[in-house]
Amino acid sequence: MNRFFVLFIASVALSLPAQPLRFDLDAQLPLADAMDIPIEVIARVDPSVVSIQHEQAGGTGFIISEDGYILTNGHVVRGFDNEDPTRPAQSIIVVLHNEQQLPATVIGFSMDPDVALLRVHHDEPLRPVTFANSRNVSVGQRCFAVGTPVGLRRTFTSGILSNIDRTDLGTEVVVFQTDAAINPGNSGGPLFDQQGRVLGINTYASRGANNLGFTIPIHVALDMVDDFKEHGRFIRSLVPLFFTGELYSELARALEVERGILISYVMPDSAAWEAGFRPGDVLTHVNGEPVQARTRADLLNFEWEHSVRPPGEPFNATVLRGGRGNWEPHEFTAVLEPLPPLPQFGRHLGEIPEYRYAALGLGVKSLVDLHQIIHELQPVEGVFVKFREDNSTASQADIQAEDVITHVAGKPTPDFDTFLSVFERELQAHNPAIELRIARNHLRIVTALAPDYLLREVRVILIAPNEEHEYVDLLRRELLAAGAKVRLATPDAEPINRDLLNTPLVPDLSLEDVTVEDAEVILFAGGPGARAFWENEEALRITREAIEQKRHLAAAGPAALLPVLASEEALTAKITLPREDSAEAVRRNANYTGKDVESDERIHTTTARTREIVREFLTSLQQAVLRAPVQTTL
Amino acid sequence: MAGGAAGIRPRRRPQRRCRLNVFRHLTDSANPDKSWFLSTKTHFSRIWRISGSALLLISSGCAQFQSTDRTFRAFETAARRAEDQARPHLVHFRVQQAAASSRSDRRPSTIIFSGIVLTEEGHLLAPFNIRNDTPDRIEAWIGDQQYLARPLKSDEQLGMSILRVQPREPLIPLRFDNAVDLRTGEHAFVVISSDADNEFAVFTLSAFMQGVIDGRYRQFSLSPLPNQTRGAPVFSSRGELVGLMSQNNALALTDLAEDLNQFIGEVTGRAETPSRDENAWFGATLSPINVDFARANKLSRSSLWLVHVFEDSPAHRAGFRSGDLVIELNGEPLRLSGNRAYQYFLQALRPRIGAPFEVKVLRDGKTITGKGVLERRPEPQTLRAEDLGIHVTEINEPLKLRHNLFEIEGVMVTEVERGSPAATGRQFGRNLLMPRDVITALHHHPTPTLSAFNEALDLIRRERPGVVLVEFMRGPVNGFEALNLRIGEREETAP
Repeated sequence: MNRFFVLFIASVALSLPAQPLRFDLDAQLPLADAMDIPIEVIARVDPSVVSIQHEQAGGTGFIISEDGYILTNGHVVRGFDNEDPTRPAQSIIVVLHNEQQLPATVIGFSMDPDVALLRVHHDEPLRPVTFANSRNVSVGQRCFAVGTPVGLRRTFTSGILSNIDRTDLGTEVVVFQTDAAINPGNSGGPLFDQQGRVLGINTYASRGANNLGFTIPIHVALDMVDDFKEHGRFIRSLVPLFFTGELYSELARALEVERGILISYVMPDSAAWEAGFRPGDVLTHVNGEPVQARTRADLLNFEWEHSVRPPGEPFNATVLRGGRGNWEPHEFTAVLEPLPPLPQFGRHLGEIPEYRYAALGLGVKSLVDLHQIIHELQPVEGVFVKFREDNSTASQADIQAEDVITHVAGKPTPDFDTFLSVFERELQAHNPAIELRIARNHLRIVTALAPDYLLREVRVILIAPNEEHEYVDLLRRELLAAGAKVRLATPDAEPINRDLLNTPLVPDLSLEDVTVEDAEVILFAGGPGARAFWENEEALRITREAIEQKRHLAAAGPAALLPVLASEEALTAKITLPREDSAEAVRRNANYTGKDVESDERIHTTTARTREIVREFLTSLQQAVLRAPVQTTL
Repeated sequence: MAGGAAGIRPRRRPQRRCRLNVFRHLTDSANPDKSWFLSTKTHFSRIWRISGSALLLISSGCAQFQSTDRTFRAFETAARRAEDQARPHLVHFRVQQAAASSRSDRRPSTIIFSGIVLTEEGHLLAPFNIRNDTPDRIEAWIGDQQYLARPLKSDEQLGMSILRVQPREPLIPLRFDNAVDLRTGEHAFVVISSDADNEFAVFTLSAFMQGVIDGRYRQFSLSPLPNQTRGAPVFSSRGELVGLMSQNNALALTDLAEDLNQFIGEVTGRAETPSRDENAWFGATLSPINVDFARANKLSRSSLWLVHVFEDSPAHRAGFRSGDLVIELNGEPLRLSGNRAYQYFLQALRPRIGAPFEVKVLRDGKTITGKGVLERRPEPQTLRAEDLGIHVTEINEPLKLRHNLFEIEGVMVTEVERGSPAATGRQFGRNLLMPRDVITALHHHPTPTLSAFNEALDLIRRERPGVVLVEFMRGPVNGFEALNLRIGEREETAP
């Protein structure tokens, strides 16, 4: 140490008189040598980094294949849909390094690990990044980030890997920490190593702290890509359902076990329980390989390596059982199963959509095993109350969020489909007080839901194409909850499948059988498939008759063009329809206003862009119907 | 009579034009303050003249002004009777606030209100909660005598206090055993005290009953009166005692009497048990019936579910089961609805250890009546395990329900001491053990009870191990942690 110090002083002393201090601005230093990151590396990675923008927010991403797959963070492209957390942002635009803008679709996204896969289509092959081996990195390694912090495009920042097994953030996987400046807008951007290979996806930054950036290792993201492509969501494999814990040194000493992984919890009657696992077992081998976790990072890595294995693979485990001084090895065989959709917890938004009756202020979800653990529910069968609005029919019934509805009108509702069929039957019958039995902690409560049935005098024929579209069911259930008598008509009376439910929507009528005299409201709905109605003789007939007979004619989505097509009279009425279809309306000289919801006397139209807009449309329709009831001629 | 009654309420906005004229005339000509008080006969004759002349002018729609001299005389008699009834028992309180108790920017102020005599020995009832240690000076004026009053006890539920004076001769207590209720529209007379001109004075105010406000103690809503009526006795037109004035309404003495007698008994030492006791236990979780459910099933909306009856509790021994619906308490139907029905039940139960109850419930359409006596609430035993840095309690059924526990064969952590082995976690800011954890085994010994836990603790003290295994349930999930009992001591490294 001392010797170096002396040498250093000597060299400084020697150099001073020999060379007067000056800057030689013209000197041509080889640039690449002077920089941490060589210029050719910068030039190579720059075209692979893109900026992502959508209606809610934005971030950064990077191209991983010539055919247009892009990785970013899940939180960059998440939608903010309370009822369907699996829904990503809608109109996403990717801006390439050359400022070219491309529309993008979300193939899949996850909030933990915070990864999303997007796809853009481009005529020319795009420049993908190359990947580093993020399982083999070291602290202190140079790295640099590229992104659009606070909207500043193509910003390069540099630093080192400050930590490579950070678990304190409560993430599902170990993350890297870097001191390269990561700011909002960097999210989803790549962290490169010195050679310009991707180490990870920049994700989190610590607010109010300096240079604490967090990066998801790239191998984690790449593990998820295939699932996104195949299933649209990331599917973990596991033996349901046991929890593991690291065997930290005190715990190892207290248990008198040298190495392994503690099985802290096994859900009773689960596959893991059936296979023989019990809480307190110590896992030592999986499929013949020794396993151990001394730290949380070890444990997260172990869990991740197993959760990304293909479902169906065996999970042959050796565990120690018996406790201090009596440990005996046991072998158990189980099979990895795909983990069903997750409820909301921690960073997870959840993958179970809510079925909401806004008219009642009640939103329910199917109850899964994990709900019972997350919300500490006593073992019970029923449906889970996810949403309860204040000052609503549901609050009047003393229902609370996180209650479990076990019975409706005296009938058990052990699963979601049963609940729905029993509950909707009661709504249809206009039961003034629907008896509900509720489980809340240890208590069982009896109460009654008393809907207002404001539309009890109103008959609605809901006409939809055969294709699944979420807003068709939304319209149906909200009208039903408001007391309307809703009948569904589809071409040839074909049933409509529902993503959320095992039971399809079964129509009451085919289009041919629709007579407008039987209803006060004719309501067309559906997604792109509803464009077929534009040329459907029956749909046009129904529309025409509805206008002639002064019914309320309502249409959501592309079907909103129908009044224009069917009747001269409707050309003067103010209408609106999705932007993609607006040209059709303008071409026909319709009175197209471009609003999201339009209501002109008895013609009601909406773009149906979002669920909120559809609900707004329903409110407006309900007010119009109550204000101007149809005189039914007998 | 109606016209006369209206005449003493000049502040009330009249609803019909013909009345308006009458009022204007009256308020313009008479002293508005004095016009409330029926101290002279002149007002009546004036009112009569006005209403008589008004009658000549107005249509038949204002027929209520047709009254006779006889009616007025009856009214006058009733007012005077009320005054005579009240006068011997009426107390005028005058409270001079101590400087410290009033706001610093204000001078000490004086509060006056009415009260009544409770006993010959000098117990008085005041319509406020007055603390025993109040620094205020409280004077009680009874007739022409003035005393210094000393607060004895205050009752939160009644909102009243009992004070004591040392009378020179026996006082005349007001008896409220034969109180009656007012009907809507009936006239009431409120007798208040005053110290105008430093003389004890009595005024009789008239009002009519507008409706009943339900509650543990019903209140008769009276037509507007001046502000300083609180504590004043209220009489019917037949001179019967009705209630005591609260803020603006008359508290029904028929409801109040029992609790008031109990309160007096406690203070004078005539009653043996305290009126309320936090530790008195009925032994069931109650939940108000949903009003829509009640309507649909033709049940009283005041009923209460016994959602959970604890085993071996007074409610359980009285024969009640979870799911029964309470409809009556001590022979009287429950009142109010929703959470207020629950509050009513608690108040009407007058929880004190040893208090008898008789509860009627509905079960499968049949009524069942059960009787019992309130007992002392079972208090789970607790323990501080200072070696680990936690406080634990044994688990009983109420605790299991309150904390939504999944395991009862253990002891529950209630507190984790900072910096202790139980608080020193591997993750920043997260303790190894947390309140509500149920410890099922300690140092390899099962701890289904507090004594078993204590035995395990003794073992730890004898063996002095470096680390101790704690097995517990956190909600529905098992947990295992090893507590390092020798923080700071150097240990041999683990294998």
